[in-house]
Amino acid sequence: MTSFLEQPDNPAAWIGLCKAVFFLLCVVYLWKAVRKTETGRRTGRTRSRAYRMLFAVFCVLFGAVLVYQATWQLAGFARPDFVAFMERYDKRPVNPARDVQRGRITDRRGVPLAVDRNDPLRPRAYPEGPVFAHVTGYLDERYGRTGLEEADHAYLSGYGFESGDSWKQFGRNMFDRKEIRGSDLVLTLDAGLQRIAYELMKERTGAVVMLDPRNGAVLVMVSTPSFDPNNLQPALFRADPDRAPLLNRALQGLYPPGSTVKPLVAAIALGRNLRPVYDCPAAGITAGTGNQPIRDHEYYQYRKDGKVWPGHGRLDMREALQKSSNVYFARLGLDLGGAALTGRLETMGLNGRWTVFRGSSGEIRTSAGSVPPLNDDDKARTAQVAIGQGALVVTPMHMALLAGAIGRGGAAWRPRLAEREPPEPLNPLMPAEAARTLTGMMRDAVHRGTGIGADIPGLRVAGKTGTAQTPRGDDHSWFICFAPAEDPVIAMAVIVEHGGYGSRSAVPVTAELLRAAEKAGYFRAASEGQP
Amino acid sequence: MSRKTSTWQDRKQERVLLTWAGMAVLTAYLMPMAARWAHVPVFQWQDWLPLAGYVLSLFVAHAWFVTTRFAGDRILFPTVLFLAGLGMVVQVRMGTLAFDDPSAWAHFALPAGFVVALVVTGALKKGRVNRLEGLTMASLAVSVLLLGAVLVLGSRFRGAVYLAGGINPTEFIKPFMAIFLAGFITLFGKDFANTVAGVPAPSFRAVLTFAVLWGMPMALLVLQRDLGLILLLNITLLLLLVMATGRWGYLLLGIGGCLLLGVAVFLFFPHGKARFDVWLEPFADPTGKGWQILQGLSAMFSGGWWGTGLGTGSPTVIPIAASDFIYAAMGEELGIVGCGILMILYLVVFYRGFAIADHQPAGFGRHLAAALTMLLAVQTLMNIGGVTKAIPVTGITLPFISHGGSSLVSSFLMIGMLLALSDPATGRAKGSSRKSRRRKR
Repeated sequence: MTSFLEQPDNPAAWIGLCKAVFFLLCVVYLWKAVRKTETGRRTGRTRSRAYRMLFAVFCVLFGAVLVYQATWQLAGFARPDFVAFMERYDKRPVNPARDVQRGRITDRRGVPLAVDRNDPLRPRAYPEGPVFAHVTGYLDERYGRTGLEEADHAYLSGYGFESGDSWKQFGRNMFDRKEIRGSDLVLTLDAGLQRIAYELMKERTGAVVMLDPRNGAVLVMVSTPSFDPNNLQPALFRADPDRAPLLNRALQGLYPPGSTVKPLVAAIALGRNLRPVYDCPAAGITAGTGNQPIRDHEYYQYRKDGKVWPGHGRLDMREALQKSSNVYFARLGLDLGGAALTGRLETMGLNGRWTVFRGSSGEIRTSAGSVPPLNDDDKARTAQVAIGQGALVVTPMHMALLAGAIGRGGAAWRPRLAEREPPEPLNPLMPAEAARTLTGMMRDAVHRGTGIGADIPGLRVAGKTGTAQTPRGDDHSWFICFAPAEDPVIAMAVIVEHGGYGSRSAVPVTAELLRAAEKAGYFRAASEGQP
Repeated sequence: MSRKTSTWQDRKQERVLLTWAGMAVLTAYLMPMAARWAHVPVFQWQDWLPLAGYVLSLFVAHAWFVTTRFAGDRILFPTVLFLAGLGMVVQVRMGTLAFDDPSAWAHFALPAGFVVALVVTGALKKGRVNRLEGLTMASLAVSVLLLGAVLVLGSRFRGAVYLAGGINPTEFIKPFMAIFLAGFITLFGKDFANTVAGVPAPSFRAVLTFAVLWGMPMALLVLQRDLGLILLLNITLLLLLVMATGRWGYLLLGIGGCLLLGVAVFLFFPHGKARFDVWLEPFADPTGKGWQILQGLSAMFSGGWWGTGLGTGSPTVIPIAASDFIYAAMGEELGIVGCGILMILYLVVFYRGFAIADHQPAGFGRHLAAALTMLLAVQTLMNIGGVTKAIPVTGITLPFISHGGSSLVSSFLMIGMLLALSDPATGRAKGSSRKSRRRKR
């Protein structure tokens, strides 16, 4: 109205004035029409109840239609599919969905990972670029939605009526669309640590997962090579399968665990009160006739140098884990038997799936890994599985979860990406006693064994290296760990594809990241409770 | 002379309402004009022709009623004219009342409907409308003939069948079917009111007669695949049965019938099933089957509370916006407030219709008034419900607003009959007539 007085030349202002006067005249008309009806006055007869009821029914029906109409006309912003339709297909000069701002995705401290751009062609900006590409996924006019953008589409673009506050906001937005905003999705991830992990990994191929074993909160989830969700190119979708930048290796990468499976085999044996001492000769162990013997890696190292390795001799479980003896664990696996070994691995989650995110429009799930069912006669394959080779494959996420479970006495929590999801305990993955014994052994494996590169003073890291043989190229380099050993607040799994020995690539990455976590205060707060 | 003065005084409310309606429509008319002027700052005298015609019709209507000493309803016709005026403005805005070609059919639809309403009122007032009872079977015959003619001669366009000149004769069967239903129920009402243990149990003869008679137009409509009209007529039939017999069991029967119809739709009407699917899952095929309804909803969302103002939105992006989806166009440009006002205007019309029915003595006139009102009310509800996605789209027009001459003239014909019914049977000598009616009952 005021605009009309200010700009008498503007037709829009005149139209606004006409509209207001029109509504006013309508109201006057309705008042004059309804106020003085002819009912009863003319005939003196009372109106029949049936017609009154019929009219009332029509009033209710029309009213219901109007209310339903309002759920589109006034509150359509709360219908995510509808908003998406309008953004994409409404050809009005000013898109009616322009005011609907998609919620942000932020890390645990509110660092923005995905923000609205107010541009229908490129609706999202990702300030962290490739660092969080696999976590957030992307939202793009041409390429659609993936990752959290897809799984939590409804929540981000519309409303998740979780709190009374959002209802209040909803009411306000019915009257003022300028403020319409989807809900922010707060992740458990730590942008600072994620950045460091990405910097360490960006020249390599692999994945890093760090989580809080006390509640399953994922702190770091990096997969490399990555891509820039701000700049999606057709070439990205044609990339060669070896690089596969779109693949989230942390959740979907299936790798043979190599020696990192040894703590699990040890846990199975300890759970059965089995703690044997084996003779581990240089000649290795041959499972099933006609197969290559399984030997320890020292044998090959010595042979390369033109020397003869005398063998480990007698090893107990602690020493075997510390030295990562293939011979010991192959024998242990054979003694446990294929059925028991694979059966127990399944109770540790293999062949299963974890839901790491339960969104409003979908879930993000991860395979834990898979192990074929074996029987006790299948000695060759049993021995292979016991040293983390053969048909056994795992995902980095699951290895981080298992590392944490060992540190927390067998207790594990469902890994989760969103702060809003409450911690959810899983069934214990191993007996508490076995986990405690194993914790000591893994501490030794870092303090005195193959993982010494990650033995940061004061952190009391416990872990296990792994070297997974691959059909071609160098071996994959693994390291799983948790710290501090007695009361872990961090559990990690790192894999560097074709990185050689675990101690060569994965351990330095882990060590760097643990130092960063220490600097960020994760360990300081451990004694005081939550960070 | 004294009589004339009293008619003048008697129709004061009509005069007042027509004045306000005229002013409101005039204000509304200025909106698309201003919007057009913003693009092309030139006015032609033709631009104002529809408005001038409309204002003239308000004067003519009142003059006609006063000079013919019409003593009937004083709210119904102004409200209908208000709605028709809004329809005219919206059609001007949508460009369907093209200024360039004043000989187009569309320009004559509203005047034709207006004249039809006045003529019908004049012809049937003073109780003469009750003589239509004698035309019960003739009306059915006319309906069947119209439908048959369409089937033989018509050409299909957008799922409906048209005759030459864009006339849609199926629209005209509505008033005739109303006469038939009213006449039939007057004849067999008592039969249908029979109950056995609370369950309606009309005599076999009544049911058979009805099935044969009702089956003829229904079969022809099925052949034309005019689902909307089938639904409209059957819902009206059921409501009429309930009103005439006071037996609510017929509503249960109706629900059963609806289920049967639903099954039939799924089996025999592929486009009926498609409409149902779109209603349930509009986002399953947003660029195909869901396009129209979603574009309509998108338009309404852009309208918000108060609308963009007539002429400043973009309702033309909605497919068939001028006819079936005109409500969405109004939602965009007049907002939900405008939609609410529109609904109340319709409810005023229906309230008057039911009041007229209620003031009739038991018999044909009562059923006729009810049938006419129900037809209009159910049609409005079906259209608005379909556009807002509250119910599946039935492809039925919005009375008095949608583009389409046949629908407009047919609706005005029904209003004319209602007006005639509202006129006391023997002018001002009401006392005697009421006594005589009571004796009849």
